[in-house]
Amino acid sequence: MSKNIKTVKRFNKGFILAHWLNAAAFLMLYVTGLPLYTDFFDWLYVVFGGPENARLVHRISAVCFMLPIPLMIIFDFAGFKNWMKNLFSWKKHDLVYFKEFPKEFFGRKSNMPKQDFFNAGEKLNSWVMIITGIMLIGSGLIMWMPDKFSKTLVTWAYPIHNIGLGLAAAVVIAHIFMSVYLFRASLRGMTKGDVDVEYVKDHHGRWYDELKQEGKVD
Amino acid sequence: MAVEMAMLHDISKCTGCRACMVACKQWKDLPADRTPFVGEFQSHPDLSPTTLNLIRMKETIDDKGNFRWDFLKFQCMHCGDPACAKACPEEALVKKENGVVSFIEENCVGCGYCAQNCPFSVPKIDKERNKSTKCNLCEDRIANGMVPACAKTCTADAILWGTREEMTAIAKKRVEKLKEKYPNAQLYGVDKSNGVGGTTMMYVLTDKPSVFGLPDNPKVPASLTVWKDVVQPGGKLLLGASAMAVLGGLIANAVSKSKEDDMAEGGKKDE
Repeated sequence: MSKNIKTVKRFNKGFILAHWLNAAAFLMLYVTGLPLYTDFFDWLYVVFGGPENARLVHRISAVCFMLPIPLMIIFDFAGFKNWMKNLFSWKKHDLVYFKEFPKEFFGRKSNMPKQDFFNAGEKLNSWVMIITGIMLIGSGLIMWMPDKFSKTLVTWAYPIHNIGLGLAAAVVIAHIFMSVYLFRASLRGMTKGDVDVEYVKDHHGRWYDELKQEGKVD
Repeated sequence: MAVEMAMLHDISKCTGCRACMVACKQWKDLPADRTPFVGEFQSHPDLSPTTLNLIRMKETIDDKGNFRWDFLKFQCMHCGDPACAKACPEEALVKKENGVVSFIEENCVGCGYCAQNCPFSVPKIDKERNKSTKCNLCEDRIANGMVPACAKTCTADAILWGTREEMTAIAKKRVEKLKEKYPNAQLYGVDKSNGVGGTTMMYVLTDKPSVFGLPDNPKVPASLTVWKDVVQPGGKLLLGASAMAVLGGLIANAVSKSKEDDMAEGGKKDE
C-alpha cells in the first residue's frame, strides 16, 4: 500500500461531531446503566462513585445523546439531507446487499452489487440507531420524570428502554467490528473526513460512478 | 422452621385510634411528618419514607343516608408474588418463607422500580438517602418470637398476628358473622390465587375493596412480566449472538486471509 493514497471527501466536521458525540454518549449511558441490567456489573457503581453519581452521569449523557441530530442539522445540513435521502432510498441493489453480506462478513468471495453513498448495511445501521434512539429517549424521559406520567406508561417505559438498549448494543458491536477491523478504510471517513478512493470503488460503487461523472476521481 | 405467618386487619373492629401508626414510628425510630389539615380526619395523605403504616379514614354515606367511617390499616401487603422483588435489579427485595417481603437496604440503589411496579403503590423513595422504604412486618421482632409493633399495640384487637392457618380460620369465621350485617363483607388477600399470589397482610372487609381504596383485582403489571421474562433474557441472547457473529467474522477472515497469503507465497504480494 503506497503512503500517498488517493482520497475523496466523505463527511463534513458537523457530521463527524454528531457521530462521535452520539458514540461517546451511548458508551457512557451503557456503562452507567449496565449495573441495573445485571448484578454482574455492580462494580461499575464503585467506578462512578456510587449509584447516585452513576445516575447523574447517565442523565448528563442522556442530554448529550439527544443532541447529535440537532447539531448535524445546524452544522452540516447538506450532509444531513444526503443522509436522509439515502435512508429513504431502497432499491434492488440495497436488498441484494443483505444476501451477499454474510459472505463478505465471513471473508468469502461475494457478488456485492454497487452501493450508494451509504450502503444498505449503513442504511440499516442508521435506521436501527434512529428507531432505538427514539425508543430510548422517549422511554428515558418518562423514567426520568415518573411523577409527570401515568403509572402504566412508566412501567411500560422500562421494557421499551430495555428493548432499545438490546437492539442498539447488538448493532453497535457489529458496527465497531466492521469499522475498526473488517472495513478499516471506512474509519478515516469518520476521523479525517476523507476516504480511500479504492474503498469507495469497492464499497460504494454507485457513489464512485457519480464522482467519476463529476470528474472528482479519475 | 419457617412457618408461614400472616397479619389480619379486621376493619369492623378498627376504631381508627392510630396507635398502630405511633407504635410503628416508635419501634422504627421514625420522626413525625408534618401534615396539612385538609378538612377531614385523614392524617397523612399517603405512606411516606417516614410513615410506613397508615390508617386511611374514609367518610362514607351509605344508600340509606347513614354516615360512617371506613378505616383501613394500609402498609406493604407482602404479596405472595411480589412485583417489587421481580422489578428490583439489585435483589434488595426478597420474599421470605415466613411471608415477609424483606427489604435489604444496603442493596438498594434507589432506582424506584419497586415503587412504580407495586400494584398497591406502597414503596416510597427517600430522595435524601436515595433508598426505597416500606414496612418489613417488624422482621427483627418476629425473628425473636415477638409480635409486630402495630399488632402488639392495637387497642381494639383489630390487628392480629399469627400463623397464616390460624389467621385464615379467624378471618373466615369473622366474615361469616359480618355478612349478617354487611352483605358485601369479604376477605382480602387470603385467597392465594388472586393476581399477586395472595398477601401476607390480610383483611376482613365490610364492603368491596375499592370502597377502602384497595384495588379489586390487584395484578402484577403485564409490562413487568414482558420486561423480566421476555425482554431481558432476549436481550442477553441478542448480545450474545452479536458477539458470536463478530467473533466468527474475526476467525473466518483471519483464516481466509492466511489462505490468500499461502497462495501469494512465492509470487509478489500486492499489498
